[in-house]
Amino acid sequence: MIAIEDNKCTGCHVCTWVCPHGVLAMNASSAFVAYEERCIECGACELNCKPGAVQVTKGTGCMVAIIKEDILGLKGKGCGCG
Amino acid sequence: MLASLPHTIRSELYVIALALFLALAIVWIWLRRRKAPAFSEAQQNAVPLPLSFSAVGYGKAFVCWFFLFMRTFIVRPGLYTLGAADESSPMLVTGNYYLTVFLLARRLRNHAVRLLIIDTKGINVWCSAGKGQFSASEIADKAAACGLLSGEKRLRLVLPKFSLSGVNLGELRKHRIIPVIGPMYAKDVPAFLGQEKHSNQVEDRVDFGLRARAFTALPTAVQFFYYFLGVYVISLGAISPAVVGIATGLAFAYPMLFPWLPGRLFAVKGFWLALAASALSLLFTAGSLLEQLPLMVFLCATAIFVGLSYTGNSAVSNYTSVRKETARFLPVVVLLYLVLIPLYRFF
Repeated sequence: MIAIEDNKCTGCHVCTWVCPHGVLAMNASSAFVAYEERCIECGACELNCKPGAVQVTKGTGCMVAIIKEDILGLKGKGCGCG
Repeated sequence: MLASLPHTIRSELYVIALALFLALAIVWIWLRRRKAPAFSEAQQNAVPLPLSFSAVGYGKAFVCWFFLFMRTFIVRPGLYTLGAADESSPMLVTGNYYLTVFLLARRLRNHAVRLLIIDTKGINVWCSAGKGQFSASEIADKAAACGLLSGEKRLRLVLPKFSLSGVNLGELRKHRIIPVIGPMYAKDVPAFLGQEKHSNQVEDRVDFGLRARAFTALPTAVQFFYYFLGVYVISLGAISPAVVGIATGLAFAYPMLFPWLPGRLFAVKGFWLALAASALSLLFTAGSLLEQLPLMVFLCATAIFVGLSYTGNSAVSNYTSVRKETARFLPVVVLLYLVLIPLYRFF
């Protein structure tokens, strides 16, 4: 899940530059989610958004990682793969 | 004594399968268990070192690829040079996953560049960025340790775009590093370096085309070959060895056919692959629908399992969706395999 708070966005473009799938785009003054279905929830936009306008449910999109992290609790968040 | 063993275990095929399974298990355990070489600070920061790979390097890179991109061999972190690089040459940063460094160095063999390799514990750039290992602080620490931040001039550093889920560009600037968003893939780096001005690659996107999927198809097939070879060995040869071939074939076909399989969910794509394989089986083999039912159930369970497993190898899966898919479809896979246990003699 990805969302942008319009009132916080300063229109700096950084979120659109760092996105590996071109999920975000710019209108006149702020960024918006143009292709939500492409989002892989990597969190690059949220991490690099200085005013904190972008929120992403960051996680590993991998069954094995989800089993280890969320179902069995064997590994910490983000550590289930590799 | 040997005569008392089931005839399936005494077959030549079973002995070969057992030997192969044990050999792969030993290699796999050795790769996973052996300790990463410990590098002293002085070793890590001995600057700069020329980067080159011997024939053994090709073998190591192949093993990294063959064993599903898992942590196998690593490159010592530090500063390296390629070609006739000097202090004015562009500097790129990457992780110390062996295959990444190997592929990048091969692409850049005719370029004069400096390569800052940070310690990502032998994990690739994208995964280590997701884990927080490929981060602004890790880059800044390594750059400082290599004496790159001691001068008055700020350091211009080209980052792989895949690293930005872990690297805060603003934090790098605070460390007097000017970050440049570089290409995602090693293949695009030479063209990027050839530009007069190394501008941010803001339009670079993840490529999940046939070539990228083919790169993941072999390790995926190897993974499933190994799983089902294990099932065949553990069953003492009671099940048909054909299951190993079928599972391997599905695991290879899934990535190759990915965009043409209907549906958005990975498991649903797997279901359609199973349906297509079942149709082919009905068309080209003699058995009736009822006779082929166990095979069709096996195809369905395995293809959905392949789909769910492939979420980690693909470049287009996301956490929210895969979590839902795992919760919905993994129990279905388990149920289908349980149904097959009493039917194992029928295929």
